[in-house]
Amino acid sequence: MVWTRFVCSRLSAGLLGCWFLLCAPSPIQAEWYVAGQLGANFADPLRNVRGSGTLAGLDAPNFNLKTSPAFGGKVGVFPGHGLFGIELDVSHSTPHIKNLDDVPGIHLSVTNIGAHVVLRYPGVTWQPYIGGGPALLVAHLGRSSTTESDTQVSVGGNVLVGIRAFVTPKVALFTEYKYTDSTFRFGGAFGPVGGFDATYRAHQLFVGLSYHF
Amino acid sequence: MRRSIGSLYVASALLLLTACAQSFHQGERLGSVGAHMNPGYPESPSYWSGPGFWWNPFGYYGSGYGWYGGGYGIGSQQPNAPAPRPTPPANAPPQFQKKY
Repeated sequence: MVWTRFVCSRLSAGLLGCWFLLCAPSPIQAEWYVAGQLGANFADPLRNVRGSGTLAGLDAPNFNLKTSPAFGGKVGVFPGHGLFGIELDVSHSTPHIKNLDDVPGIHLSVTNIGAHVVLRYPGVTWQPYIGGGPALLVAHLGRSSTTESDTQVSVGGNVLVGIRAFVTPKVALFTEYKYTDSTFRFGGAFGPVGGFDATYRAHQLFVGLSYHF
Repeated sequence: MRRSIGSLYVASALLLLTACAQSFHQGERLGSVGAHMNPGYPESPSYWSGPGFWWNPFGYYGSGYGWYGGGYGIGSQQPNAPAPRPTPPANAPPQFQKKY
């Protein structure tokens, strides 16, 4: 009973503190930032490749993906210069599908639109941070000798870790690792025959510059 | 490609090591904390609950404590044995006709 009351009081205090950090009007201005980033996308093979449409029930080997450049941008805010922030992160990469023996490769592009909650150490010069949240992945499969052009939008998730260092009072350099997990559903990849579903997982490394207003 | 990425990271690491500027916003936050502090009472409530308060915001045993994922114990299940693969039809794409 005492323990339950203790946990409830702590939980209430925590929720109240969270509300104050994120929502309450603060005498101190929120810290908004924009950022540009450039890096590389190291995608795992497309796994669990399963046919859809008339191909349902069929499996295919993993589709190996190429390492590709990646670029993107962010906009975010830390209310009250505090610990928690939210950001919108958009990045684009082209992890083309490699040839599968004698089957030629296929162009693939992926745009990752993530809404992240970010937790940082608000140091004056160094700010390590972690974050994560849901993501929309817009993937476009190119036309090839075996596939039709197809675009799909799927829901996934991002997890990220990074560190930011201020090079001027308002400009910071950062480096970041981001992990993405989703399931692609290219329902029209093979035209009227059907398509395929596959698990997409990617590791991205970025360096970038951010400006803090 | 890998070499250029490696060079990019070495360059960024060197730049990070030379970073010595201080964040405008964090300087402002620390200034605000200093202004709220009562010199005679360094642990005054305004210091602990103000907008500059950033560490341990949920307190000890706060949100998320005691959460355990599934997959352990009596309820966990072993994956079923894989079903035999169906034979692909003649019009199936070559990707689905590969043996693996």
